[in-house]
Formats: sequence, structure tokens, C-alpha cells
Amino acid sequence: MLLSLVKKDFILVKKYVLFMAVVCFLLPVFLLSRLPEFAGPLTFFISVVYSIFLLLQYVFLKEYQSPKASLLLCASPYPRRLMVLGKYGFCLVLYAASSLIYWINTQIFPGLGRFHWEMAVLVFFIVTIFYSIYIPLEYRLGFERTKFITMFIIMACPFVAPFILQKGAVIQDYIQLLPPVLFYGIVLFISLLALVISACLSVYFYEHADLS
Amino acid sequence: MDRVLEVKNLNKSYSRFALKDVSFSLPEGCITGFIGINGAGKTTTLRSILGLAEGVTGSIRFFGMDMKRNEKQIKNRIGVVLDGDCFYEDLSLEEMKKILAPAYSSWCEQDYRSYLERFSLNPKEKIKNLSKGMKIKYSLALALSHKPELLIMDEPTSGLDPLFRSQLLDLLRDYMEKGGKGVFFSTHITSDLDKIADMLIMIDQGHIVFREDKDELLDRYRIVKGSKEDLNEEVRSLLFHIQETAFGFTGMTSHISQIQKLLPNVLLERPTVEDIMLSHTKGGMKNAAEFS
Repeated sequence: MLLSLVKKDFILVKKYVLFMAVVCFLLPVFLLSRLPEFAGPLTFFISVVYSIFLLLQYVFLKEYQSPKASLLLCASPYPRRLMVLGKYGFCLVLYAASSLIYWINTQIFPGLGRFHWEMAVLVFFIVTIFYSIYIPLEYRLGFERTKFITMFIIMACPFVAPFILQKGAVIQDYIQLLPPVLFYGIVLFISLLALVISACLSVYFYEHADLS
Repeated sequence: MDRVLEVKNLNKSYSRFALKDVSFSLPEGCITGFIGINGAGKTTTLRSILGLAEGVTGSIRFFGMDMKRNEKQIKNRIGVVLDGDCFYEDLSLEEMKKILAPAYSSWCEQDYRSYLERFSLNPKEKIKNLSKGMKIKYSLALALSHKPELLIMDEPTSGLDPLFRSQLLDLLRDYMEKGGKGVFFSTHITSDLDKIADMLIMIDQGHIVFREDKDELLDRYRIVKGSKEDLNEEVRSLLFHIQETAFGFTGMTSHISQIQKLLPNVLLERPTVEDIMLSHTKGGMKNAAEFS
């Protein structure tokens, strides 16, 4: 059932899946040809964020536009819990697909550098933290209000980023004291923990939503 | 006779409306019409029993099983037709089926194909291109393709032409003949229920007004039409939903023999389901004693 619900989200965004795959493939190549100093992990990060954010946003938009379709699904044997977990599955599949596309890119264009697991873990961490907040907000506040909050976060990013980068430089000194495997293990653990907490919250919100 | 659905003391409150102690049951083998004017609480009741509403109290049992504890198992055994707009409009019929079908363990692809053929629906057609009637037909195809034992429909005939409504009634008869255990069918177009319903449940302002066998209900009441001179106090006390004009009056009664004794020449007509529904709607009630 969970797989069917992940598939459902792909059916809803089928028009844009191929387009996003092409964007994920071309973006690193484009940056490599125009701004080689920015090609590499940054393009991987951007392509993952773009693909998940745009496609997930489109799924929520479709559900917002057809509230009675969700009602029909909830009247079927699909448990609401799985309908929510399907969204998380959808994001994980998109992350895996974006990573695969980037890995293929690195094989074709050595200028992008090597695809290393540390980079994959760090990007997974950043993306997970964002979606662990974003998805429960969608279930609690609905599409319209979450859209404004997301816009606010995106607009605030340029102002907050320098502060985070400044602090990040300090934290990096401490991080270097840890063995890499331990550090990335902790990062991965925090990501998975955030996902679990976020999924529990989203399930709680949707199971208690009044669809009548 | 077994009960396919039993609802006891169902309560659900909104700021301006509430279902209050709604209790009724559906016997097996019956088509039950759920009637009431717009805003009476039909849709809220249906959505509450399907577990779509939050903050509902009371007991809901399908096939003898508690809804809260056996939700998945129960939903596998019921077919639901909400209305024509309960789909993702950009998808084709085939894509929408691919989303819904895996939810049901007893989905029968052959039945689905045969319903599409029967309703002249093209699986590649986009849902947004279907007329309202075609969307309801598609809803029915989806609802019936997993061999449900109980079919629950929320105003399926609303806004549809008489031909389609007649086809729908034929389909419901077929469904019951093929082993369906019950149909629960909300509507305010009561002429459809005159033709097909076995039982009637009426709701008004969140309260169940009656739950009765349709034929017994229609036999129990008569529309009385007489001149103004006939309408004395004694006659008035036996009537409700009295409408007076300059020439005479019309009223509803369940005291048929008494009226016939008092007014031997008065015209008594068998009511329709609509007449009974309107006379039992609070706006139409003139004699509260009838309900005491």
C-alpha cells in the first residue's frame, strides 16, 4: 500500500518528473561550463532541493485543488497514516533519483569531482531538516498558509546564511576533532531522527484532521 | 435480519450545526434512502460514519464490527460514491483507477472493465472532460469494482437528468440481485426513492425524524384536501403541515379513519416521499403534537 501511495504522488506530478530529471542532469553541466568554481557539491545540493521542493509542492497543490479526492482516498482502505508516510517515501525516492543522476554526471564529467558519500550525507541532512519542518506544516496549516511561511523562509535565507556560515566556521574547528565516520554517522542519525519525529507529527495532524 | 450498519448516539458539533444523538440501523438486503433538505445533516452523517470527520462520538458498527477497531477491513467491504468532483481532474480514468485500486484487496479488473464498457467510458479520457453524469458513472464503476457488500452514496442523483437517474436505479437493482447486502443512499430528490427504496430514514436539523419501511410509511399517511369550512378545531388537531388558501386547505394526517369519519366527502390522497419529507421538516410542521 505504501508503494502505491508513493506511486500516486508520482502519477500526480508525472508531467514534471521528466522535466526535473533533465534539469537535475543539465544544471551541474551548465555550471561546470559557465562557472566551474561553483560546480560540484553545490550543484548537487541545488538539484536535490529543486527537485524535491518543486515536485512536492506540486503534489500538495494538486491535493489542495482537489480536496474531495483526498476524501475519496480516506474513505477507501488506505490508512491516513500511510497516506502521510507516502509523502516521505516520495521525497526519499526523489533524493535517491537526484543522487543517481548526479553520480551519472560525475562519471561523464570528471570536472564535477568525485561523488562521495560524505557529500551525500551532508546534503541529505540539510534537505531532511527542511522537509521535516515543511511537511508537518503542510498537514497542520494547509497549502495556502504554508506557502507564505515557505516564501518567508526563502526570503530570509540570504540574510541568515552569512550568520550560519560564520558560525559554521567556528563549529568546523570542533568537527575536525571528530573522526569523519563518527561525525557523518551522527549527522545521518540526526537526519533520520528528524524524519521520524516529523513523520509522527504529520501522521498525528492528518489523522486528527476533520475532512467532513 | 442481520444489520449491515448500526449507528448509536452519533454526535458531531460545528459552530452553527450539530448532529445530535443520531441513531439508526440498516437491515441486510434493503435499499435505504437517507432523506432531508439541504443542510439537514445527511452529508455530515455519511462522512462521520465513514470516519472522515473528527470529534465524532457514538458507536458505529458495520457488519457487526466496530468501525474504529476494524476500519480497514470494513472499508474493504464497502463502496463509496461521494459525488462527481472527488477526483484529481487532470488525470485520466485509468490513472485514477491505478491510484484507488491497490487500496482494495478484492479489486476485480474484469468488473471494472465491464462497468466502463456498460457506461461507455473511455479509460484514456481525462476526468476533467467528463460531464457530471459521466463522473458519477465513473464513481460507481470504481465503487462497484471491488465487489462491495454495502454501497454508500452521497446525493448521487443531484443535478442529473431523468434518463441517467433511471439508469442508476437499474444499476442498483442489478447490484442487489447480484448479492449486494445493502445500499445507503442520501438524496433530496425523493422521486428516485419512490421507485426503489425499501426503507427511509429522515434527518432534519441534525436529528433523525423517522426510520421506517417506505411502503408502511406511505400507507400510514394521507394528504387531506378540503374546503375552509371543513377545517374546524377537531380536524385541525388531526392534521399537520396545514396549508390554507382562500378556497380550502391541504394537510397531512396519520389519523386516516378519524378524518374519514369526520369528513366523509373530503379528498384523501396517498402522499409521495417528498410530501412526507416536507411535512416532517420543521419549517413545515404546524402541529407539534404529531411528533409527541
